[in-house]
Amino acid sequence: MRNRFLIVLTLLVLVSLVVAACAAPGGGTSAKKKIGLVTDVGGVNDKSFNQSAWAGVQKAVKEFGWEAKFIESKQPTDYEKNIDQFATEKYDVIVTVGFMMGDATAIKAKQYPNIKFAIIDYDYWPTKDSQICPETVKNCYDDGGLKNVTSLMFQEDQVGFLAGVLAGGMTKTGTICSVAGMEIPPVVRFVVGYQNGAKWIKPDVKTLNVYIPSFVDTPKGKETGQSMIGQGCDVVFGVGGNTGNGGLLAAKEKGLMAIGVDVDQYLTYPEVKDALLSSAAKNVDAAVYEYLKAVNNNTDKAGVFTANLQNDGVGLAPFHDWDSKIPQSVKDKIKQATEELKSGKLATGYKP
Amino acid sequence: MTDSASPKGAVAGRGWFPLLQRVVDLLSMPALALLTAFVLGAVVILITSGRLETVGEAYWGLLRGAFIKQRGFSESLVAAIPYVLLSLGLALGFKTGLFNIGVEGQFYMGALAAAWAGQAIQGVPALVHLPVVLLAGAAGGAIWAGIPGYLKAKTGAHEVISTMMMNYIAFRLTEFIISGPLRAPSGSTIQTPRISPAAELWALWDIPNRLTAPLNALTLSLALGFGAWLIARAAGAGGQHAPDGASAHTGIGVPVSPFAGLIARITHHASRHLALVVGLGVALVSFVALPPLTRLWWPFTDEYDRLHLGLLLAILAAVGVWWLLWKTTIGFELRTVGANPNAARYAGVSITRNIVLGMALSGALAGLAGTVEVIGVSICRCLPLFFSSGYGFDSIAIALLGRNNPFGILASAFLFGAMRNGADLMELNSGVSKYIISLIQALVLLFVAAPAVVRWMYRIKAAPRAAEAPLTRGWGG
Repeated sequence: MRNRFLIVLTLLVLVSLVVAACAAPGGGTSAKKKIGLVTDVGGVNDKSFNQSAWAGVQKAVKEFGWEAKFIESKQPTDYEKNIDQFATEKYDVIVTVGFMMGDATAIKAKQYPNIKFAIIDYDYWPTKDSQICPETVKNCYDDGGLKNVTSLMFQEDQVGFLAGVLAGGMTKTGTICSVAGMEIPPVVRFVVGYQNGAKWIKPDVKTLNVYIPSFVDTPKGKETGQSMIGQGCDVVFGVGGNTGNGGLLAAKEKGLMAIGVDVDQYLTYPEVKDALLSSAAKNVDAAVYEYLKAVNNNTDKAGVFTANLQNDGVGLAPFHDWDSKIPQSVKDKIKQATEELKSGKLATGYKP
Repeated sequence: MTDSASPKGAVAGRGWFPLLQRVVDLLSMPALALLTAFVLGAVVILITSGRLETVGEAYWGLLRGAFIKQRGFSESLVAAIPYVLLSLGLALGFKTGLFNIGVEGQFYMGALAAAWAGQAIQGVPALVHLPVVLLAGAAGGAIWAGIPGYLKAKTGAHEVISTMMMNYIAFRLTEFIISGPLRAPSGSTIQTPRISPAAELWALWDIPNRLTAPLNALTLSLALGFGAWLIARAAGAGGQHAPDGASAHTGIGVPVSPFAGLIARITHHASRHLALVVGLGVALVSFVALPPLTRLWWPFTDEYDRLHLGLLLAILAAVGVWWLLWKTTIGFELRTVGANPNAARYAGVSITRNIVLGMALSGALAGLAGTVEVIGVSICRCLPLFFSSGYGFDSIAIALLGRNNPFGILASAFLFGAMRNGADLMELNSGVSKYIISLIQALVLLFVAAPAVVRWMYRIKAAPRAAEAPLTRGWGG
């Protein structure tokens, strides 16, 4: 008898829980906007741009009294499902973080024309054989069915160029290098800008770079960094989440110099702060916040929003501990490059 | 277990009630394990959140996300499909006495082979291309698992170690091939080229459109016919092995004719070839009837629904594995090697051959899972980087929960798929981290692996077990 009793009791508890849940009031007031953020496979605590995007969302949500949730993607086949999760829960704005989510975001934006989408690092252009935006359209946003999508882009090549000027000015061996993540446009922009910036300040500088097809492989990044240090490199630029972090670590352990990426890594990655000259930051949080502010004022527009030096969307992070050790001549050169890039007098040399 | 070679197999012949009882016996322990795990999960949520309502919100969100919300149910199935194939692979390994922990790597190699075969050929109809891609994926997984199998058979290298190491080789190799030799030339994303449309696994909503091409209709009807043949064969084989009296109970077995001579022989022949007749019949009927019928009425209309024909494949694979393991000589040899290699060797069964075969088949199923994900789910119908996250490792738990029985695996894979799918909405609704699902899954596994705990909790007496071979090594179950 006793076992039956126990089973019945447990069942009763479960049923009552479900009933309680059904009775619970669902959904808040309609005036409150709901913001959903779908991260890339890096996750929301990646010390890099997923985290930065979420910070931007949180800032806006706090200011405008909205609510926000995030879903972390485990793998590329989750992107569609995760966006759909927010859409079917009637979220008003969905922010998708990262180049990899380009296709999934476009498909879902076409499916839900009344929801606003913002995607970071992906801009839609008509391309051959594309299911998203074929060559027959002129502008993917206006007549390509993506009227509800805003792309938040960054001119990584500009800040990469400044990082290159810094590296070229600081190197003693005449060799600088970068440990890069996947060879996708944002990463390539950083790297190309970096190399050209170094050549601009020091024409005979030797540049090394390796793309590693991962954003999470710290050991591989470290190993690559060590091998490039072995080839004489003394300033390592880590471009690519945790993979790049491995490069920074390699430089730190050898007592050399390093440059971080995306955010001020002096703050987010204190383990390598002794080596960090600066970081090539892209202010994802600011871009996301500005976008949401525009949504709040009903001034948001479909299309590409580009963050660059002109609007302070990208920039070198402070030098922190290295401030006194960086010669004034290098600082002047950085300042000069900043001004000339802003005015258009100087080009970073990146061609899409 | 449903091992028909064990003395309990005779139960099937004694009417429905004992059968029902046996089913209840089989299901009661997993069900109680599940219940206990969810109750403990509730306690953890309660402790961490401090609110009773959160528990309700969380489980209601889980339920709604997994079954009720739009596309919830079909997304659960989408997640379950790779789980079914992978855990079938694991179960097949377990039955052969092999712990193929490398299914994740074989999943990748299958996906890679399928992505290659899908784009290497262009312009052939689905009738040719789809089987080629499925075979390529299966072969990719089979080769990747066959190597550790061969090493084990020849050198005694333990498969747990070698398959695990093969995992890492597979991950790095796919990374290299995707970003190097097989990278899509156009576009800046790092992924393989899009496969030919003929190699895609059709989404269910898309079937009426696809069937307008006669060759596509032929493809589907042949697949259905093959499925019907397989199921009829599996069911019929059950009748042939059972004693004469039992054949009346099997759905397709023909009752023994009272007339002697010719009639008996004709029915005998008919029953022998019945599976073939059924298969051809189903193929013919579906070829003629399906295209117009699906045009008229089709239940799947949501063109954003991702559920695809892999569902059929998964079910067929479960039937196929069951048939292979329990109704064929090959399966008998595999199980014998798994149960007691020494006895198997004494009986003249080749250990080497069966270990390699067991590993290869296990890997083929895992490779098939990767294939299905590439040609049926992946948004670019290609293989991007970071393709899977731990499907293979979840599947170890699923195979154990399903007690290495193909039909048990169908159920437990669906359960895990539903939990994986519902977890996101649970987190959204209640703020409870979706990793609580991993905790609940771990608890389920714990209770299934240690039934004594559950029996003790619910004061259930252990069922008097017929003398079952105690020699199943380790994970054989």
